[in-house]
Amino acid sequence: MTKQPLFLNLLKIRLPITAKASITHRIAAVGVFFLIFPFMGAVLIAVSSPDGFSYIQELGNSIFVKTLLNLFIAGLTYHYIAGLRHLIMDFGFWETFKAGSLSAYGTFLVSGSLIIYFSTLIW
Amino acid sequence: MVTKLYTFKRTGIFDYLMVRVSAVFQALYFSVITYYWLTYMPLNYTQLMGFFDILLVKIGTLLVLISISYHSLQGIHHIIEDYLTEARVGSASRFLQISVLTFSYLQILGAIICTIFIII
Repeated sequence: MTKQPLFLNLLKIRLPITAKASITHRIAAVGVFFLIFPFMGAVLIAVSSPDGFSYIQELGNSIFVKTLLNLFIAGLTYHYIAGLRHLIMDFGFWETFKAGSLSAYGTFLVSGSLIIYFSTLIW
Repeated sequence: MVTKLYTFKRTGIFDYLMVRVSAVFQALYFSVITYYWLTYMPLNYTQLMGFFDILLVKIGTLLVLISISYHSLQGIHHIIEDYLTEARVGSASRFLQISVLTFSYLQILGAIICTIFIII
């Protein structure tokens, strides 16, 4: 049996927009997953007492925490919108390459707009 | 394309369906959270406590954490099977797989403990 050629450098392969939407959906999921525990921890401290709430508010003023929160919200927003696209495709819509490409562009556009909106609220 | 589900036992179709059901549940929950955040921002302590005092929110928060746990662990399994294979990362694959899984389970455990303390 001949060995199949293996070239999986994603930085060198020119991927179609549908593949980019799929990979970024996964990357966003991993990012959100890593940040969910720190986020829940922050909520726990915030609800524990008024002092805890003030502490988290103060912490939230630092650029580092704002950046983390921004990344968390951005990842969640993109994963949400791309997930909706996947769900619609599961019902048999947008399955052609053209429709899939258009929906992928739409996903980037809608999630990008929402991310910009949420980012302005955070900063 | 699979159009009929003949069994609801642990099969690939079960996981396929449950990942989507849990995703829809999380989407609904995060829509409510976002709506509340946008309506009452900037939130103060009383408003935050008031939100988590609603029984439906308590139940929803616990259920959404269970849902996130299932959804994310399925996702982590997919990523491990796709990327952390011996063909891609060599002999370190087994060690990496166990490390990522252990970290993921700890992460989930931490999030569940936080959630329980938030809602009680």
